[in-house]
Amino acid sequence: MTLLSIEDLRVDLHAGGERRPVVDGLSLQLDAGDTVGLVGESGSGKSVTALSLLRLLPQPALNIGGGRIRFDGRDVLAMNSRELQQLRGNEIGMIFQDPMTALNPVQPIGRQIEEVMELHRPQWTARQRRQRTIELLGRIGMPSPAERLNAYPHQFSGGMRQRVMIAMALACEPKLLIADEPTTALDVTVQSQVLNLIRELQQQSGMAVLFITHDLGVVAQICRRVAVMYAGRVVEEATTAALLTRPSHPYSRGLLASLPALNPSPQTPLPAIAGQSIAAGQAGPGCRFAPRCAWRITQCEAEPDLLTVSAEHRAACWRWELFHE
Amino acid sequence: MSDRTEPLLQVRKLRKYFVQRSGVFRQHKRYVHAVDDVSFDIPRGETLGLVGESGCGKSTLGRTLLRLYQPDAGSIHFQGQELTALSGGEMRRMRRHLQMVFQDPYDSLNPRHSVGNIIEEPLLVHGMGDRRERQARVRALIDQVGLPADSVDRYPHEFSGGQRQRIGIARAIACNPAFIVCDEAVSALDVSIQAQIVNLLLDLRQSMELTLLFISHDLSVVRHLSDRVAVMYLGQIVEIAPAATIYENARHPYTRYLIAAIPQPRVDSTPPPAVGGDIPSPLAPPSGCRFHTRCPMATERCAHEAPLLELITTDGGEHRAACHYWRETPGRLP
Repeated sequence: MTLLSIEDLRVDLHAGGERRPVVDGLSLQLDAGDTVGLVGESGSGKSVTALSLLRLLPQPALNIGGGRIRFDGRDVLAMNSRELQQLRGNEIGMIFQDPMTALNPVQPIGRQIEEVMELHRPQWTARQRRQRTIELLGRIGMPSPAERLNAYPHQFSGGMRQRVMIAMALACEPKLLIADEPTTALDVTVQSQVLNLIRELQQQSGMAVLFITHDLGVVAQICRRVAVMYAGRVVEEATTAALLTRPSHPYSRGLLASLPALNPSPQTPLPAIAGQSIAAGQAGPGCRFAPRCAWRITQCEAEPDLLTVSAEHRAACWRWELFHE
Repeated sequence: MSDRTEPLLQVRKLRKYFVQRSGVFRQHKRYVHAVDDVSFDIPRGETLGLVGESGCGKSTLGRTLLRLYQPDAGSIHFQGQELTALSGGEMRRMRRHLQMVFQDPYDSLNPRHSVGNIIEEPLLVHGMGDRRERQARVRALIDQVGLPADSVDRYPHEFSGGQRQRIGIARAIACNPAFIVCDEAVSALDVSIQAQIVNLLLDLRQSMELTLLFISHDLSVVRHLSDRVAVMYLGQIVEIAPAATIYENARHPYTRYLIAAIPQPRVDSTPPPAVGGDIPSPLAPPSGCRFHTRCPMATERCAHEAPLLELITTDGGEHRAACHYWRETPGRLP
């Protein structure tokens, strides 16, 4: 069952009297209970997409310029502020890269988690909320949670703060968790602890996860499906296994090939993608990857839609068949 | 000068502590053990990778080698000279042979200087060539690092992250240094750009016969670039070996854990079973082996007795690890 569907989303950046798209014609579907990775480099529009889903774009700089977003059968773009409040933190939880800026530094963490429930579960007593908070902190692996309720965010390490954020996001058992680079600022050993935790919690609760990252290694560990973004658009979507074994867009292929982790011979040049990444607003007509693409032909002057490669696998490239010979 | 067989850089028992003061009259002093009795060699032409998590002291070590921080104890022997014995002026002159590339190309370039001026500056400081020669050298450097020829008169903000890192590299190699410390030089870059800069470093290392200390938290990049790798934990080197040995036959539990934790972009990749806990504070490192608080193999002995960086083998390159139980590690840890 489709939980979230984004169709032809466009987000514009208004700056200096100009209007430039940063997300341009993005479509993506997410089923209930599924785990989907949204992968792209800086400026590709992946975080802006996440903020659009919750209508949290910083206005008036960024505005939704068109498209449809449906969550659980309802039109998110038509919601009023009360309906949106019902959505945020209740039906959709979100965690960010930097928990220090997302947590209130002058409020104890227990209080911050309870506040989410006060808003969305007013029928619960204070005692029930406290009970639930202790249970949540236990589930995210905080030692002696009942004693840490009155601790402040700065008293925790980066990894533990991210866990507190996760506890807060899960307080009301959301149907969807949006995770925007939640482990990027963490050390690799702490990252693996947090990834393990997100996997476990996802499997226990059956919530859907939209995991935004630039790291294909993280996607491989967390996501069943993945969408690759380039310059404001999804250029390939597939199951993670299919993307890793049969990448069908030249950009996805280039990204995978340039990873040192997948390169068998150290000290040899990596097959890098030539040129620089562009933002959606800088894209000319035609395929936006064409200027960096080694397989470019005249047909690429027309922008391809996502073409079907196989069931659950689509790529926005006229020549995808070339890669499967 | 030194002969070819002597290492370019010999570091012995290097120590750098930072003082942290607290109290109303700042009377309480505590010491951050950032670099604590570190010894290693880098032979000429070698790339030594230095890995570890945040706060382990890897950046401090890199900066102390160039005396950007003053070492508290120990010696740094470079091309037959003792760097710790040099005066400020002598050290400044010495720096044309020892350079650094920083992580953040946004912060390490002066936004008010043109790219030409930025690259020319080290040549001016070290009094190399006349105006015409310097300008020719700047043009050659811009070409060598793969920047467009018209970059000379442009400013850093006009360039993308990858290109700014190229500017930083051009500045570092301007005086033909023998040794460069790369401190997280590719960490802030996007994947596709990172590969371009890695390739540039590989290319320069060969063409200029550079010796590199490549500091990074990204173990995949380090493996790709390094001949040998040193692993740091809380201010100390816990293992040092040829790159392939570190990744395939590490003997220190921390090294094995660090390598298992890299998310691999492969089908059915799963996060490894987590070794619990966070990195202890370098203000009060644990007694004995500093890793014992998180180590699944730790015994009573590890809490009391600090292990030495023991020689394991010289077969295929020297391999050392600081663990009492290195003989048992492969059977007991994944």
